[in-house]
Amino acid sequence: MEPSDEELCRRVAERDTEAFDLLVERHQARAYRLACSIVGNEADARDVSQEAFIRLYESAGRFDARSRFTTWFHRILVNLCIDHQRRNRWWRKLVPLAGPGVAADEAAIDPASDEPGPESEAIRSQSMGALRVLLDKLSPKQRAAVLLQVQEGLSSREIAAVLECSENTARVHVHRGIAELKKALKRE
Amino acid sequence: MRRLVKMITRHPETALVPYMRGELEGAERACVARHLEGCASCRKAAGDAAAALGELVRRVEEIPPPDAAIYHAQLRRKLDARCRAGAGAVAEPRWWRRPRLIGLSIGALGAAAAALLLIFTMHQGTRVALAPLDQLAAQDAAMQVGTMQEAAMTGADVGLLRDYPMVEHLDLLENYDVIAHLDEVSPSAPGSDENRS
Repeated sequence: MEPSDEELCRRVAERDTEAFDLLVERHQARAYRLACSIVGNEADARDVSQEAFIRLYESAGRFDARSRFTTWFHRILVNLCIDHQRRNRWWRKLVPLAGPGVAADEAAIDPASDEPGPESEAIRSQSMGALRVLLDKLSPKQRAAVLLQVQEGLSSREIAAVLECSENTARVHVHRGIAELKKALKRE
Repeated sequence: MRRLVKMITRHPETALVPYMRGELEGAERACVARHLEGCASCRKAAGDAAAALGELVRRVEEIPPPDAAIYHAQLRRKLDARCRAGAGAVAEPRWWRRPRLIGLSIGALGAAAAALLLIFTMHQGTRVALAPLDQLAAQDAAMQVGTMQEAAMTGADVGLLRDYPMVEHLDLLENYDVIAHLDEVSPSAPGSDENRS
């Protein structure tokens, strides 16, 4: 029988790397897609989702087993995505915050050889473009609420737990997000 | 309950998707169902929302997942780097949790308090030391004018004012004849007492 996410998380808290690898294997694709949908950029989505797994590893001991693992992990991931969106507002892109030292460090962590090839990159860009058109006018919280609902199948109550707001507020985020989606579809 | 009352009177816009997903229960579910039966615009809104969400899911699923091996390898490298950095550098505790800084803060506060106390004491001391000089100056001025009444009016010797019978006798100074011929009155002259009384 497969161990549950909660059980794996408990083992990660004891620095069980095998349990961590299993959790990553289970959730990486969905975490990446959710991050892609919120931040709207593949490279950033990869970084943000990987950072979420690192945070999971670092703070697994603080996971309260009374709540679901997915709710807790989604909270980490969505908060990172929203923080990323805040940090990357358009006026901040005009002046790069990271100096050359930071860029060099990142290059050392992510060697160029790991990057996908040009063909898969083209497919990825096309898909991302279509998704970006749809989600363009949604706020990060609206994106998160709508995607948690349709992609992860979370209820309004669970979305509220992830976004740390009331259930009514979560419903409003979903409702307004869908209204923007409808407008975007009409524009196409 | 308040939400239910609102729903009866208004379109349950935010409850449509939860209703379609089967999240609603009991009275709220029945209320939305009843509303949808009689409201064509809400039925259309629900249909449009379902279509929009379906399209969103389709586009999200078009995004190819990352190469699992590459993704995992990158993650391992980042995690190892973080662990090494974490092992090398002990996390700095918040300033209020550092005993040395607490000691310094208390010392700085104590020094500031001592300085304030010193300034306050010096200020008070200056006022205490100056008071007799003020009194003397006022008394001198009063004596120069030559009238005790003026001296009393300047308040140079408040003790006099407290001694009411003494103050009463100051009325005698209104005898201008005496004041006019004050230089002729000798303190040791036998008539001086008579003049004064």
